Amino acid sequence: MAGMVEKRGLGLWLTHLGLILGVAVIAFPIWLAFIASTVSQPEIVRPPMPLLPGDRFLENYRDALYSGVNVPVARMLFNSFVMAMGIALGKIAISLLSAFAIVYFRFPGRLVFFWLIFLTLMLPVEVRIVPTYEVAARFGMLNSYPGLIFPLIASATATFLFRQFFLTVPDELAEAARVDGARPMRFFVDILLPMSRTNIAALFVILFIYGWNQYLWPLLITTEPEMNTIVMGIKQMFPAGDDVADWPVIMATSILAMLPPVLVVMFMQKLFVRGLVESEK
Amino acid sequence: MATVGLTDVRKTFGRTEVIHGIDLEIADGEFIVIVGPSGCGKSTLLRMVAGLETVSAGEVRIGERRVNEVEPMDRDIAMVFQNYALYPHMSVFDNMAYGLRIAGRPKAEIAERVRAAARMLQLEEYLDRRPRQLSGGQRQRVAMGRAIVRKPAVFLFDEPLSNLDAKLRVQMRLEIKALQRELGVTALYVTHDQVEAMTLADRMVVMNEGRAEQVGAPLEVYARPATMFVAGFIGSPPMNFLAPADLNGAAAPALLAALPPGTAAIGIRPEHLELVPADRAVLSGSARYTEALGAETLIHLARPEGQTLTMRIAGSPEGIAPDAPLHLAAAPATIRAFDREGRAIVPT
Ligand SMILES: Nc1ncnc2c1ncn2[C@@H]1O[C@H](COP(=O)(O)OP(=O)(O)OP(=O)(O)O)[C@@H](O)[C@H]1O
Ligand SMILES: [Mg+2]
Repeated sequence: MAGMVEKRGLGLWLTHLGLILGVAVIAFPIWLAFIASTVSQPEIVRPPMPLLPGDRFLENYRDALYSGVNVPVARMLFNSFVMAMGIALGKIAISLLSAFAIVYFRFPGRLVFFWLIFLTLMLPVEVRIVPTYEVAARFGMLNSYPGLIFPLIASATATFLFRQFFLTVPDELAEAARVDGARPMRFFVDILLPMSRTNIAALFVILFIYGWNQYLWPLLITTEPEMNTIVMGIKQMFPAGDDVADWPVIMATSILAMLPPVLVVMFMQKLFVRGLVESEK
Repeated sequence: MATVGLTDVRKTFGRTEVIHGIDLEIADGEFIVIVGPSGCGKSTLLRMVAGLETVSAGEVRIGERRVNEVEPMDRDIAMVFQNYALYPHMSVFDNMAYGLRIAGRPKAEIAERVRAAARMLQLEEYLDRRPRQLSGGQRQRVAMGRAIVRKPAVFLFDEPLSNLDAKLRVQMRLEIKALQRELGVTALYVTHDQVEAMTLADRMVVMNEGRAEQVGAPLEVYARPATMFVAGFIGSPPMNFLAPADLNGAAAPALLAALPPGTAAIGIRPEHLELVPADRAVLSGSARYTEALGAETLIHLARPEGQTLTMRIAGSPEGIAPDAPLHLAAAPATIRAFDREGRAIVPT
């Protein structure tokens, strides 16, 4: 970056040493997981643990993807993907619309709704999990995608983000659009949405990862292995009782579980960073 | 290309009335400037004509049609905002074309109309740019262009030049006037800058605290202000106000006798004061400081009674020593008389 202060000499080396150490500490467990996913079961359980990749990479990953332990990992990846996408897109759609309503329309009970939305901030899934489960069960949403997605969509964080952003959009823009003949939804689609796109991208990344990493809720709501998501599915792969854990496959699954969020961050990084640091006005 | 009529138009926000009943008839093709101090309700009035504010009472007509309940887009108006309000994510072309697209015009016609407007405003090379890649003056032109392409019957401007630097403001002022002439569109223009008001207006409306104090041609308003407020607001430096009793020079009795009955205050424009020998003076004072502007000089005088006066003389201030006593007079015809409520007393 051009604006950064340039450092020279010893300071530079020390800085890099520190950074490398930090990265190593964080990356080491992941490296171990990767190693474990490329060797055979006996190699893992016999100390010392290997630190270099083995030769069973393809076999282990194929086993994981196509047969897994309870259900093929490919199935769990798909479930997780549907859930994460559903949560991210659903939340963005709902929060964009509700922020639009709250900022641009004067309707009776506007403040009440605003505070109701605000209240949900204080009630994350974990707090309202028992009643939410009850409701989901009565709607027959156990072991279904709607059951995985809907209860997690309702939250206010994103609504707030968009509300704050919409408040910075000058009123004159809405008025100019009105004079130009744009009805409210047209203004929303033609003007507000394109102006929010960096915010949307940033939020998408955050929400996708949030959805992907859900653990407790999928654990409750899915009982059939076919509906397991990958993050909770890993736990389900641990054997009960005296069975031997198939560590290479479990580790391969862990690595696979990490990939999609990484890919999302990588592909959306540019938009994501822009969305965090600037808002287009 | 329409007349605009306001009949006893009022605006109330909550319980406060901010526009207290304005009547105005605007002829087709006329350029009306609404001028007044900050907070007097100029924007509110304009926005009621635009349809961006509801009309609390009274009637707004555009081309003989009552439009109180009509949406802005159906009023056949176009508005230019103070901060331009360009759509930041659209190109200059799209900014100008947006209204036409919504109206469902054919593509070819849109392109042609946008290009014609761009040509008129010298924006042709910028059509692909985003607003943030333009200078303030260019953005201003795009905002104008967006108004022009719609071929509205009425242009509404809310302080369109106040974000520009002084030089550009003068240039854009001339362009706006030329454009309005060329298109023959009725225009309603809000400003707090009296120079803009004087130079642009066919007629100007001087507003104060939600009332129209005077409506008239600029020079008419300047020469015969209807109230002390108008007299003080239009003209820079402002008119000097004095009580009749303040006139105490040798020639004062004759002048006082000529004032209409009921005169509570008199007003003299700075350029109407002249230096005279003591025996012809109606006023005296000492020069406090002078501002030489090249072509003219402003002299600020202190009076023994404590008020200050401003006079404007042509040329440079040679021969005026600081604190020297000066004797002043003004031609009786140039002196405005006001009654106790501040209304001008028209000599009968
Ligand atoms: N939405 C509103 N709610 C309440 N009061 C308002 C509202 N809009 C304007 N006002 C009040 O109405 C009065 C006139 O405001 P307006 O914006 O028309 O003034 P203005 O003449 O355009 O001033 P300026 O030259 O500063 O733009 C002000 O006293 C203002 O406080
Ligand atoms: Mg204003």
